[in-house]
Amino acid sequence: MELFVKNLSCSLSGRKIISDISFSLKTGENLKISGENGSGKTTLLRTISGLSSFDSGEILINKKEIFLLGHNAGIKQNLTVEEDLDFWSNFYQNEHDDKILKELSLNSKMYSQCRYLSQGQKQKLALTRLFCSNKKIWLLDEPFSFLDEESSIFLLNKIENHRQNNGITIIVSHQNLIKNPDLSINLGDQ
Amino acid sequence: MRIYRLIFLRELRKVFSYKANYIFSLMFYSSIIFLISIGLQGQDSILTNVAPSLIWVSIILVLFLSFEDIFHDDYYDGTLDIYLIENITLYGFSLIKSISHWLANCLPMIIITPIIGIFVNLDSEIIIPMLITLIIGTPALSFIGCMGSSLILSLKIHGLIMPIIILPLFLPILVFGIGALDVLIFNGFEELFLRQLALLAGISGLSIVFCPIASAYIIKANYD
Repeated sequence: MELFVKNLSCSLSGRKIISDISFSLKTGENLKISGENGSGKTTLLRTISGLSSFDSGEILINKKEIFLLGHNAGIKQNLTVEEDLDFWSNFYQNEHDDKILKELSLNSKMYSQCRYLSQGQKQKLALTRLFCSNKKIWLLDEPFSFLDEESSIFLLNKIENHRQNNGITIIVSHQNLIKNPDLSINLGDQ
Repeated sequence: MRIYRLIFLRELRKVFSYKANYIFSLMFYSSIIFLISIGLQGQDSILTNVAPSLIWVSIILVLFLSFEDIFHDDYYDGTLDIYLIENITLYGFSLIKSISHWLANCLPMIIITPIIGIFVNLDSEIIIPMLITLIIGTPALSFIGCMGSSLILSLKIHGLIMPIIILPLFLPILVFGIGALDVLIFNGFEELFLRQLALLAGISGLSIVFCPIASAYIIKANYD
């Protein structure tokens, strides 16, 4: 399983956001995308995932294996954490791991409505969906936002495990938490 | 099919877990009917004759309040993104949204209509036909409303755009819904009542088939 992006160009509302980007990732590799605000990091992820159209270029990817963790994680405000977890575990036909809930300190919030969760807790809830999905290609848009140090380290370990299990990860992040990515692109350099 | 069933159950849980939503709809529906009955106090014969029209128009007014939110949350909280990536068809999703909208908004109003009817002096012989026209006609309102909701999906400021677009589409439903009952009130039971009911059912059937298709295209266009 590989991911190819060749000469990709995208526009948003008539403005060229990404021009002529090429890269390829093999199994067990990760890519870090950085760049200033508005440089097209999120657009690139959305384009790779197939949510946004592109002007020219080529993307070769197994769409069934994509998981996108965006700024909004599909969390319903008036459902409880337990209902959200149950839905996604049934959706992906994969039980959520109680250990992960404990690690992310979500086990005590099971019966709280999602509207009462902090941003960090919502991000953690979104991460449980990621771990439940069993997808091979992770597209993570600012996954460390709102996370405390402990949870950030936990996520870093999960990303490393994913890499060792032949998964591909593309991470958009402002933080320098990913130390040795296999590939790094700065969209601000375009 | 399993995933669509899951999404449908989630939608139902979502709409019914936020009780204020449909309780306020029911309260608003009751308030409109109650205020009109006070306004026409002492004119029982007029009230009896216009009761079906009042009920139909009140239901449409109340439903307009709920249409704006149908796809709004799913678009802005990222749910639609996830479903698109997971290959959930927008047609299936629109169908689920329309059915859950009908169950959460129209059905409760239909259920309380026999009680509400007392305020507007609804003839006891008209109650069952009234419920039949509502059960047959209101699905069209939900499905057309869903289509209208998808039109304003990515508009931050929409104001009266949706009501202006979809109100004309409600006219046939209103005409045949009220028309069927007027035939019963003024002429007694006759074939014309059944014909109007059949037309109403036809409109609902067409809405159920075509509105989710239109919604799906409109939602996709919002992404492109």
